[in-house]
Amino acid sequence: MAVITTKDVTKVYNSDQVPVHALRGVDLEIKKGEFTAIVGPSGSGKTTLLNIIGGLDAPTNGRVIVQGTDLGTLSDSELIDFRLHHIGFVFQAYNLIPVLTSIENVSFVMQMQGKPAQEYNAKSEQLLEEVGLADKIHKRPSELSGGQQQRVAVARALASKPDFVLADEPTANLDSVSSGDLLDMMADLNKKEEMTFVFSTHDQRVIDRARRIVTLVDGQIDKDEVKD
Amino acid sequence: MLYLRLAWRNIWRNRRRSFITMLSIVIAVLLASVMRSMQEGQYDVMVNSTVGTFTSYIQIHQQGYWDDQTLENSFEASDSLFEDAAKPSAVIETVPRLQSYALAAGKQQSRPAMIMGIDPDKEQSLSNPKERIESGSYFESADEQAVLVGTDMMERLSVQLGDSLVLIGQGFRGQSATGLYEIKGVVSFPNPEMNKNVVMMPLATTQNFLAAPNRLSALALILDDPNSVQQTVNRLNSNVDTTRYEIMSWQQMMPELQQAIQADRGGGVIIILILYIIVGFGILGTVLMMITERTYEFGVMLSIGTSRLAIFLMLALEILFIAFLGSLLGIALSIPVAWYFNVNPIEFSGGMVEVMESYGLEPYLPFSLDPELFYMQAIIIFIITIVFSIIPLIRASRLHPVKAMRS
Repeated sequence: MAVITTKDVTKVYNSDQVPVHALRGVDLEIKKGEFTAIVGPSGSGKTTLLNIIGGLDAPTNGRVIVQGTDLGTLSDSELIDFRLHHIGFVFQAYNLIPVLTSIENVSFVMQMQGKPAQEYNAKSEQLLEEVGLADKIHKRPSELSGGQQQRVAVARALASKPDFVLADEPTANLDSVSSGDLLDMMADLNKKEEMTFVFSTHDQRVIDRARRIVTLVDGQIDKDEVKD
Repeated sequence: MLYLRLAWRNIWRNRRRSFITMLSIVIAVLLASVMRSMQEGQYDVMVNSTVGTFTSYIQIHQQGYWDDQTLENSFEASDSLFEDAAKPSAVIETVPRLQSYALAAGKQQSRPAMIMGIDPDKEQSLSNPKERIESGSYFESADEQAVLVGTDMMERLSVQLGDSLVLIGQGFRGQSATGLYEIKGVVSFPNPEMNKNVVMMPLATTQNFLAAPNRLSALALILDDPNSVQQTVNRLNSNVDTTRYEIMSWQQMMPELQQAIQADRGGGVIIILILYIIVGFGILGTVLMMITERTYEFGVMLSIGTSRLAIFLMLALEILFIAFLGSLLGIALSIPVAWYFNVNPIEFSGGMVEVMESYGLEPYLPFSLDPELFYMQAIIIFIITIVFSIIPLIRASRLHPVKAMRS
């Protein structure tokens, strides 16, 4: 069953002035457990598509269906709640809340979900251990390297037990070693836990690891390849 | 708990900004409190100089006396009235008086005079005449055939200490009142009108002179706390037979003083209002800066599922913490300042002394320590902080996540 379905999604910015067509009728279906990279040149609409799939932005036309829910039917507060329970996010940089420690950042979403302290503390510790940061749980973001911060962000994205994780250029600010480690870790999670990952990226290392590559050009799907 | 922790840590995240915001609140509370303390201290002096040494804070009269202050509206002193008047806990003394007017004549001059019949002991706690004697001595008994005369009255009558003073007037129920009394002392009151007009006599002597035995025109009540006037009046209204007696606060007896204070207080409020507005805009600027700096962070928080209400609450708590700490510190700093000037009042010198005395005021300015002055300023500044922060907070909580993260 498809976790994410987009139907004829278009996005036009500045529609009342000089219209910019960021997406032009994107039809996409992503199934559970896929490790998908959305690639394309700058301005091709990768981030816009990710934002629309994540319910951060609304399409001008078309529908986005996540786990059977049409995001267009949800109110603003319902969308926020939907994101909290169904979608994990990893952004390019400055992902974490600076005044919280690693474990607090990871447990943040679970606390918002109303989970009991015992549960969110245990789960956060376990997730940080899984991403290799068991010894950094009480460190604040400023005390972590860029790669370590992104690992905490991945742990946080997984903390809410989402249906899928959206990662917008997650390796853009990392050196090659940190990027490699982060990708290994996400690939491992994808394999072991069948977690669905969708990346927008320019990074060849991400593209190399992805098992499905969707290429966007001028807001349209140009190629959709699945690796063997 | 999560929001509290976030808010508390965010305050210390940019210590300098939080410190400057807090400092502006501290200074505002300090300035406003000290200014109000000085202002109210000045009013206390005004009230004490006039009310505290003349009318007292509350008086009980025969119904109708205040509108028609004649001996016909005097009343017979009874033990039960004294007992009822002393019942409210704030009343620490009941001071009887019999007042009338007479012509006072020395060897050469005569002047109309206000005759104040006083209980020599009890009057000490009101107008304190013994301590105000410039020359001569105070009464030794309630039926002594002697008078105390105000300093200016002495000059007007061209009389000396030890001279005889003739009093001619009308007694109770139209009887003629005539008497010859030794000038035993010269009194200097802070109120110039009293110096010009007052002749004090022991109560029994006055009652005898006015042919009004056992009668009083007023029973003045001394309170331990001048702020409990209205509360005490309310209690007296239920203790005392109000069909027979009228119970009046100083505000009712001296409305012109009350109005003068209110008018002056209004002027002070305008100055403080300007201060509040300046502080309010300072806080607005800080909050806007705080939100602008963290717009990306709010975008991330909204994206990962933080509700708009949670963001609003977190920011509101930050502002509340800063406002609360600033207000608390402002109070903590303003109390010692006010206390110092309460214990060591500002003493006027030079021409100011004459100006003050000509208004019947004592030439010093102790600051008021009324707790309300301090906590009210803190509460007002606290509310202003919230009012000036509310719009930026609402805007922050309504951010669009994508636009916020593009900022």
